[in-house]
Amino acid sequence: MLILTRKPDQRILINDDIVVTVLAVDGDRVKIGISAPAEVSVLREELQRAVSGENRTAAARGPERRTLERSLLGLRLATAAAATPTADQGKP
Amino acid sequence: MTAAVRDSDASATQRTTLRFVAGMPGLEEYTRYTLVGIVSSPVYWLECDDEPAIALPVAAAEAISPSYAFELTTADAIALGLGGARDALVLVVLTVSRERGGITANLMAPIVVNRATLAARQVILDGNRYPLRFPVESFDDAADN
Repeated sequence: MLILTRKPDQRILINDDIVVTVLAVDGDRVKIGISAPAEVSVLREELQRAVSGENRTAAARGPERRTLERSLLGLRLATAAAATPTADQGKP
Repeated sequence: MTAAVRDSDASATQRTTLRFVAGMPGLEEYTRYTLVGIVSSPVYWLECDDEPAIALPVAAAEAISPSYAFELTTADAIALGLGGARDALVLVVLTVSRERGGITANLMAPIVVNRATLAARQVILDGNRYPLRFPVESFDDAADN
């Protein structure tokens, strides 16, 4: 890993077309700006980690599948009264 | 696009092969899956072609949350070759968990499928708008029905 120390307003250039700017430092939080081409994906790492964990939990392996299928068979979905998701449900 | 295959109950089950442009988080090695219907159910199995022991339960996003809507990033739209929403099928992964007492749907990371090419990708929605574990059914509710 390349380790650099930056002050606010200083930048890092990656690959000719990505610019990382330290916008502000406030206590233990750093505000970072990222300019990158539209096709470059930029994501907070903890979200990737949370999805990774959830996929592994969701995946049925081998004999579990029959058990899970029984739980899934009775599922009733797609009613007009289905709850609209809210942001405070099950945040990782 | 799909082929009907007779299973042992002599009823046709649709099987559709999807090609993931990247392995899903946690399952990075696998990119080929087959979507298999479960008879009389809105739930499908996403079966891993390269590791048959692995399968993910999924459902159409609109069946879980009719108002579910998000913007696909340009990066993801390009990766999937998607020009517009009408070309996309959106699936969400269901987690069945005894420990958590029910079934939840991952609305934070939907699987977006290009209907024409069957390219697929699990995209992660930033912005805290949709939960990782959206409650679909609790086993207590199921027991009461």
